Amino acid sequence: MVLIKDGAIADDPYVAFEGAQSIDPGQAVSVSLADWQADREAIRAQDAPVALRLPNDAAMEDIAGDLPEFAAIIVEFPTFSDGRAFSQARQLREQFGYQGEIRAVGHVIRDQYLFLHRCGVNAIEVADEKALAAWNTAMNEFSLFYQRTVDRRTPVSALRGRVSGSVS
Amino acid sequence: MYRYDEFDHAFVQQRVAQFRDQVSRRLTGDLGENEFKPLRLMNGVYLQLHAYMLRVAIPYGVLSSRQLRMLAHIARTYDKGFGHFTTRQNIQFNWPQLVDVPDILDDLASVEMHAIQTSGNCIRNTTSDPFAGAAADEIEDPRVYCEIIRQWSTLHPEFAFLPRKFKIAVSGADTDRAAVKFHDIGIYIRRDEAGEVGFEILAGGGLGRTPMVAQTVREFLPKQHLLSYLEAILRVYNRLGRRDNKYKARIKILLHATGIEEFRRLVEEEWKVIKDLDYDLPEHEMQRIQAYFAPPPYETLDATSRRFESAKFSNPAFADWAKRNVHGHKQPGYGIVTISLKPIGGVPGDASADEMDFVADLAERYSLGEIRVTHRQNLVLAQVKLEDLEKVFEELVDNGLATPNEGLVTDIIACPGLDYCALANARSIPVAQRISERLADLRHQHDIGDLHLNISGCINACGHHHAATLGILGVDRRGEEYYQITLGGSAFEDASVGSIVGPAFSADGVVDAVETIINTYLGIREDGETFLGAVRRVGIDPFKGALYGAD
Repeated sequence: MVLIKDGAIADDPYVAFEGAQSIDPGQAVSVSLADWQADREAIRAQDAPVALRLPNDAAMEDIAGDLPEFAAIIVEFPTFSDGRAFSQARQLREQFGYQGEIRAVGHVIRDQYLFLHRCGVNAIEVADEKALAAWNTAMNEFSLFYQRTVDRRTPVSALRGRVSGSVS
Repeated sequence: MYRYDEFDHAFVQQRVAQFRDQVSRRLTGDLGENEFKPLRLMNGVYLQLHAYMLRVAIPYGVLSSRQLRMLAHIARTYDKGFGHFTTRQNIQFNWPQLVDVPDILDDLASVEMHAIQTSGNCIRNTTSDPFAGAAADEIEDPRVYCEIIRQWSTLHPEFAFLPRKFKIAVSGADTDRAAVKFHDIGIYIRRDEAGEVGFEILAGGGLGRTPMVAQTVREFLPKQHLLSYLEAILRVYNRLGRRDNKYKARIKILLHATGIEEFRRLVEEEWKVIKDLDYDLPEHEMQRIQAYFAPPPYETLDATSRRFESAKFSNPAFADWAKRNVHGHKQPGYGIVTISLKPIGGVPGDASADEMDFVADLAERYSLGEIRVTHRQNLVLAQVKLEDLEKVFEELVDNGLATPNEGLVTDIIACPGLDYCALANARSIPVAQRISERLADLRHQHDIGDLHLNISGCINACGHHHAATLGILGVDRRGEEYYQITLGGSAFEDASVGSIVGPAFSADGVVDAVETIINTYLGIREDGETFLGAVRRVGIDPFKGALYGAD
């Protein structure tokens, strides 16, 4: 798999956590929510960046208190049509103020790239480096947006406010 | 009506360019059908039994004459010369070539129209009262809020891959002409005790396999919070709605599973968190959109027109038509006209390119250049002077569009059915045609009175049969078309789901059965009692007895 992060191919530092004994200290790990809940202290003892794999039916409230500990949160798309992670990503950014990487994994189609980005996803796992061109195209296909979201793209309502001279 | 500004224009053009690229990748084989399918659906392109079908959004059912002429042009140029108006106030073209669709979308964009989100598991075209802005019983014009919802829901990044499609309707009048209670979210404009205008928000209505009437989530929402509240409902649904079974994926199933109290708690809790996150529209933008729906420059006229009154007296055909197809207007001296697309023996909701051009022209001359599409698949001229009504009627007669049957038994809703649709189990259109012919006598229709007869060709219920006073559902029985009848549904503010009267009838038998039911009603009704009133009073047993014999 190839990682696209912030519009470029990036190295993926995380290896899957399979119990505290199997990992070198200082090695960045990705952990399932279940492992995190069961083995939190051992993972903390690694003293390394942690990426949380968040099932798309997880209640955000369950992890809210731990968010500052995660360098990345991995949201999941079992199929492209299962859009629960769009809400999770947006909640992470907007309700919980999460600042780290949000990575989408699973079955994602290129026509979702812009939606993902608008919901706060800044990294995506893809099969092939060719997807980078599609990602960059998708970021620029539209210049106008009707909703205000975490991506800070200016919504049309605010552009109109500027045109008419009023403050939005 | 709303007009695109530079931003709306640029946005739709970007969308067309994107789809043009997707179509060309499909045609060269770069995109397989599996990958292309979700993309075309998001642009209203279905694959039906015989061809692609393009569903074009008519936002809340409002068209300008210019737009209707463009629809005529598309029907003539890219289709077989007609279009089909749907129960969601949209229009479908049944025979376009895929290679032409980007050009059609360009044509639509040139008149401020598109096909975005007319399919897919996303927020669909918001529907409304076809008399909006003209109805005498209106608190406020619902189109303002429909347009706000239209813009907000357009390519909404969080809600493009919901568990299932999502339909919103808004009504601002006492009489519900938008079937609000059969929508995923229904919105009634209300006034609170202090006189402030806001919304009653309902959720969980729908037809399909599991028909349900929407329930009230919030009695009164101040209007500035509309979008954040919708976001809260959609987010609860996106997170918790079922995805394991597409037939149990609508919000109505979620609401039924949680119960209204728990659903309300979830929504209110979510809303508490997001209501101050700047999701709502700024005041200047609400005002900007509101300004497009300011009342048109009406003439100052007497409330009654002598010409109209004397024409009704001297011209009985005109009087018949006016009795059913003309409605009261809030402005003295004006009326609202329904143009029936239900000629006796015709295809419900179909209009030819010539008819569209004619109606566009008529609207320009007599109704401020504006046309509405109703969820009952008719057209409306909402701004006609009473003194012009007879001229309008005569022109409609000359063009075969003066069928005086609004709300009568031949004003039938029918889905496209097995003549077109890949999902259908049975044909709808020929059944509608034969019932219409059997009950064509206008005196008899008037005697029967208000009766909504709706036909669906399968359980997905696009023909709204559950919400009909007399509903017909096509089913497949060992390869043969059969028709099940329901009685006692209503799509109005007293919404109810019809009850199945008994075993299904053959394609031949169903017309006789309809007639038997109607004769039964005529025999048992009390003074002034409508068909629906009678069914609600006596239940279905007398009808059952008449259809199947006493047992």
